[in-house]
Amino acid sequence: MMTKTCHLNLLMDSERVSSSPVRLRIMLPTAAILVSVSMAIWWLILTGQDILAKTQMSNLRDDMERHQAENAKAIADAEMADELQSQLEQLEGYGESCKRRWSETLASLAEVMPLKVQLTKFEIPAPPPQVLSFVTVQKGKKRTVKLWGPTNKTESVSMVIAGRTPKETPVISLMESLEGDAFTNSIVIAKDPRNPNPSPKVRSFRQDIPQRGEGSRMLAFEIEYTAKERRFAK
Amino acid sequence: MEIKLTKDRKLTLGGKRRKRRGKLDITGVDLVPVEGKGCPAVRIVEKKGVLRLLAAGYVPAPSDPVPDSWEAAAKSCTWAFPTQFQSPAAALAVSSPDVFVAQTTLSALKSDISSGTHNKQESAASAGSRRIGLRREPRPAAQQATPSAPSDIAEPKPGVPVSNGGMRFVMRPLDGSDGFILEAGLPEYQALWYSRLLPEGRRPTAVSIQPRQAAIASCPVLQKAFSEAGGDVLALFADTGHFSIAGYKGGSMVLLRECRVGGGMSSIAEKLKKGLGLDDEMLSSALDDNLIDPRPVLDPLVAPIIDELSASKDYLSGKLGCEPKAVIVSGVDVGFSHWSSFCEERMRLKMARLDVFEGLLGVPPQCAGDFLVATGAALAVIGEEEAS
Repeated sequence: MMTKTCHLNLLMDSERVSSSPVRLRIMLPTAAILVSVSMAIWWLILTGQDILAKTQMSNLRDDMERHQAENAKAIADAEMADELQSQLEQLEGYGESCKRRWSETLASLAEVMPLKVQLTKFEIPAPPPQVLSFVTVQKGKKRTVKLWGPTNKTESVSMVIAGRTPKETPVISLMESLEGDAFTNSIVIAKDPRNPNPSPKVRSFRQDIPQRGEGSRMLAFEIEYTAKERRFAK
Repeated sequence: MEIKLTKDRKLTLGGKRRKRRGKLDITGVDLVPVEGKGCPAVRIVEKKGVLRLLAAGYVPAPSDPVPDSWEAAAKSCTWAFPTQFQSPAAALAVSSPDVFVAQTTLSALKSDISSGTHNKQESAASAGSRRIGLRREPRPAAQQATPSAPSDIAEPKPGVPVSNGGMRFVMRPLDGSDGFILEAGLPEYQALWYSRLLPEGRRPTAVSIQPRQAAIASCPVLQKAFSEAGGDVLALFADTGHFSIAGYKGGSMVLLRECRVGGGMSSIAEKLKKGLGLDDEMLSSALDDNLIDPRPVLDPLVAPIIDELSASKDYLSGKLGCEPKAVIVSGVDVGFSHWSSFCEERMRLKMARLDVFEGLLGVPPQCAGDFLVATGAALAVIGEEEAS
């Protein structure tokens, strides 16, 4: 029906413009410019970040080089401190384990002490001196090297009891008592005749010589017992 | 899609023709303002073959008149439409003394273009004998813009406007009219002025600039009488200053000519008032109510026009083998019944009054006669879009 109209249009195609406020011939170049500017800004930001990162990396590298010696010294110090700490802990362990407590022994001794015995001496002899240095030869020169502590892990301990008694029997009774369970933890009993260090070992048993002439009937005795050895280990 | 990058460079995306959308929304505007009201305008929406009248009214006339020369043309115009007429596209029906519509032949047009004297006065005089139509004599102002150099343009294509010698032309072949074409033209500076009336980026923008005489010829195609006659009709367009006749064969326009007699409706009304001794108010009631017999006065006035219609009918039947079955008339508001009876007596054809908004859904305004040209301009664009 409507297909037969005669449209004499004098408007050229080039003069036809869009009624839309969004005009492609303006929007396309504008969008292209905006995208280009955005890309340029983005590229500048990336370049700036790259330069900043490189500068930081260079500074860090310089810092690392500068602190490397200090860092090595600090690491060595830390290692030394760790080692010393471990040694200290070891020594503290040794010290703790090598303590000998005689109070129980003394208390038990008081209970088993016969009436006819007069205890004149209870001695824990000092141990032999420790070897805390040794001499070494390096490049033909002798050099003394000091040690931090004893190198042996055990130390022999002995106990000496001396006294006076009017007769022999109480002493024997005392020795028998010292072989009891109360002294098992502190005194070692070794009566084997083949043992080179027997315990107890009677050092002396003789007539006491009084200084002013009295008590001439008294007997003086001195007995050495081998005690439990000190162990410098946990 | 074509993107205009610069004045001379274009970027074409896809095909040449934009794909038709589902809806065509167009405002037709008659650039000849009605006294005290403005320019008649209609907004028509076509969707799935259904035409709907969205608005009909008047828009303020452009602030500047149609220029007579390049110098008088305003360089920038901003013509704003009321909200109801802000459709995406607008079809402008223009009129000026330099605008012409003529029925001619393609060979005559080629001859004029090749000689470079297409718009010159002597060319008009020589080609006038070959033309049947509304050719007007070019005005001196149009001559000033005419370059003297001959044109080198190619053969004109149907529906594609070309500029030549300071004038812009467009032509379309008349289907089944044995080589005749319909040609329209106006000075280039006026075409540019019209094309810049509606600025870009604001609704509406111009998609068509048509001469009023051509726009009005698109109106009858929606008439009931038109379809009942199978598209074989004659149409008489009565204006205040002249009459024009269009012939249709099978729905296609095959003839458009100016009626050289009758003067126009104003002239006839004046003669009737003088002959019958009536004033303006009495004239319409006397003619419509048959209180008096106006035939002795009306007959000599209408007869030459009916003779012209009869000649056109003979041309259609004799040359084109088309027998018109009705005459559709517009602009005859007074004494239509007498016109109809004259026509029936002399031509044996029924005369039907053209209802401007017939075939359109929506509420038409009361004074429909003002919107004939605007409606025709919109319908011409819609018809071409439908055909494409």
